[in-house]
Parts: sequence; C-alpha cells; structure tokens
Amino acid sequence: MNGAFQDGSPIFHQVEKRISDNIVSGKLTTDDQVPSTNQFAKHYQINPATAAKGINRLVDKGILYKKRGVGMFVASGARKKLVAERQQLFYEEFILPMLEEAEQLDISVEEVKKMIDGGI
Amino acid sequence: MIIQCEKVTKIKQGTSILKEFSWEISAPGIYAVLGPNGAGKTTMMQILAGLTSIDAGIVKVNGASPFENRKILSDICFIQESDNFKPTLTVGDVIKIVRPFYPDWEQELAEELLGQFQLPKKRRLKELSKGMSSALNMIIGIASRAALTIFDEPYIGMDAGARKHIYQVLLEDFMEHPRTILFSTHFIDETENLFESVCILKEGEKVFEEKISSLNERVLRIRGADKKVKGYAESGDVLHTSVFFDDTTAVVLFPSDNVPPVPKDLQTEKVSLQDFYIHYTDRMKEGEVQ
Repeated sequence: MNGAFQDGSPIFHQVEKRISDNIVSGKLTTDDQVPSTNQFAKHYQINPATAAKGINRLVDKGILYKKRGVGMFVASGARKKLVAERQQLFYEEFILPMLEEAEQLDISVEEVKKMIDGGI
Repeated sequence: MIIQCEKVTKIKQGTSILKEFSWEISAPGIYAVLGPNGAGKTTMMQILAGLTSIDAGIVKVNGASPFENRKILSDICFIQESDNFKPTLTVGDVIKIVRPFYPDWEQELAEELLGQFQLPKKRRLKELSKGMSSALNMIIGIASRAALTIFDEPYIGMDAGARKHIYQVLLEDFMEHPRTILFSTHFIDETENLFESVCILKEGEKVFEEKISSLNERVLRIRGADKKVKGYAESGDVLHTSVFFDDTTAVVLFPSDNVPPVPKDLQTEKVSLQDFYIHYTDRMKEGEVQ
C-alpha cells in the first residue's frame, strides 16, 4: 500500500504488514520461514517485544505458525486469508478515495473508467 | 530481577521528592523513565541502586532492600550523567576498577566498544571530551551485564551518530542477554523504539505506566470536521486539540478495551511517545487528568 500508511502506523503494524505483503505477493509461501523476532528487532532497531507483537498478531490470525525452537513459518491458506481480508478493504481504501479525489477535480466517473481501461 | 516500590516517599530538606511512588517490574526489558526536570527520576533510580535511603514505603530489589546492601549491589549498575571517577585516572584504570564489581562483566565487549568509540586506554579522563566520557560510562553500563542496569541521561555531549550507535549496541546486547534496563531520557523521539514500557513521573508521583505497544494502540491523533472529531473522541480522554482551517486535530487516549473504529471521514495518525508524553504531562498542568 502507500507510504503514508507505513509512516503513520505503529511499528508493530509495520512488521505485521511487511510479512503480510510478502505473503500476498507470493514471495513467501506455505511453510516458508519468516525472520525471527530478534532479526526484525535488529533490522528495524526496535525493542524485541514490539517486533514480537507484530508477529504474534499474525500467529493469532492463523497466518503464521510457530515451531518450537525453530522459528516462525507461513501457515497453509495464509495468502487466501490475507487476500480476502484486503479485498474487503479494497473498495474503502482505494476506490472511494480515488472517486472522491476525481470528483474534486471535476473528473467524471466515466472518465475514470476510461483511464482504467486505457491506462492513461 | 524483580523490583518492587511500594508507596515510596523521599524527603529532602523538607520537600517531598518522591510521594508514595509505586512501581513493579517483574520481567526483563528496557524501561523508559520519563518526566520533567525535578520530577524525581534520578532520586527514584538512586533509591533502586541502593545509593539513597527512603523515608517511607518499601523498596525491594530481588526481594531485599537495596540500600547499602552489598549482596545486591553487584547485580546493579547505575550510570549517572556525570562520572564518579577521579579525573587523573586513565580509561584503562577505570575499566580495571569497575570490572571486579560485576560478576557478568564482559571484557571482550568492553574492549571492542572502547575501540569503536575511539577511547584509548591510556587517555586520562580529564583529557576526554564530555561526549567521550559519556560513551565510556555507557560502555561500562552495557559491559557490566548487570541484572539491573540504570542509565540516567547517560549520553550528554555525545553527537547524534555516537548516540545512535550506542543505542544499537545496547539493544543488540539486550537481545542476546535480556536484563532489566531503566533508561531516563529527554531525547524521547530518538529512543522511543528501544523501549518496551514507559513510566512517567511528575512532581514525585508516578502518573503513567504502560507497555508502549499497548499505548500505541489506544492513543490516536485524529483529524477532520470539528463535530466528527468530538463525536469520535467522546469515549476517550482528549489530551490536546488544535484547530486549523476547517479541521480539528485531537490527540485522544482511549480506554484499552474501547478504541472505536475510525469512521472513514476522519484521518488518523500514530502519536509518537514524545508527543504523547508532552500532551499527557501538559494536560495535567490544567488538572484534568486524574
């Protein structure tokens, strides 16, 4: 998503989103290992408890699973869940703001549709 | 390291420096100690380090009173703003002096950090700049690996790059060797991410304490039409409001179990720990927060 979202959200959300993005884009698939809490903490220079919170939220949602003493892995069906979740938000977070802006700029819905079709 | 302060009161020259201060720490972590000057931060930390007695209440560090308690002192390292070593000593002398105090002292790390911060062992303390002395103090704090390590505004005179570097060292050493670290600072923006929890003092009292991650979830900056903002903020504590053009911006602290979903005609933004701290303690001036 856009940069503003990242800047404006707490860091544990950013950790959560970084992992989710990689699953949605297909870079991480079922049973792939994700970086550990400490790796995230080291990379972002944040307290490990903060990193753990982001990761644990994904565990709670069934996106990641824990293998004791080994690490965190992508659960099966993770992408499906995340995609469904984001599809629900797609209209509100992307289409609505676009239409609002278009309206302010006197761009009609027809013209917006044309842009989408023609890519201009 | 378990720390218990129960209604601790400290009086100096007829003035209460701490008033029934209570705080419990039961798990390792990096704890921010924030408060305006004169709030009692240093006194509170001196008490925990066994350097100062108390006038009322109970203080226990790992179950025992820390005041002049030799048994416990080897588990505590207190790094103050200004050092307590003779200026004629060399850097090497200081390391030799402090090393035997701490059973878990990590000499290799100390040596490595002295190198990184360009502190020659033969240099006398009086020849060090303020920033270099501060770096030396922080290196001692980190290398002590003491179960309770207290940093009281330890970075005076260090430049931005050196501060960033030492924060990184502290965080990474903490991850490898979790322990209880208290860190008082006025540079909240640059240290916020180090912390797991925050404790705010004001006029000798503890006025706020919370895990940063749960605080982040319930404090919001919201912007939009005045009525909408006020309506949304109703179930929370409004810490600060400002009006500009047609928009109202409010910093709101909601109860942890009741953060209402944000309506789509309002914009939200994360509130930094520094902003929260400023608005929270400012608002108390007006006597609105209990």
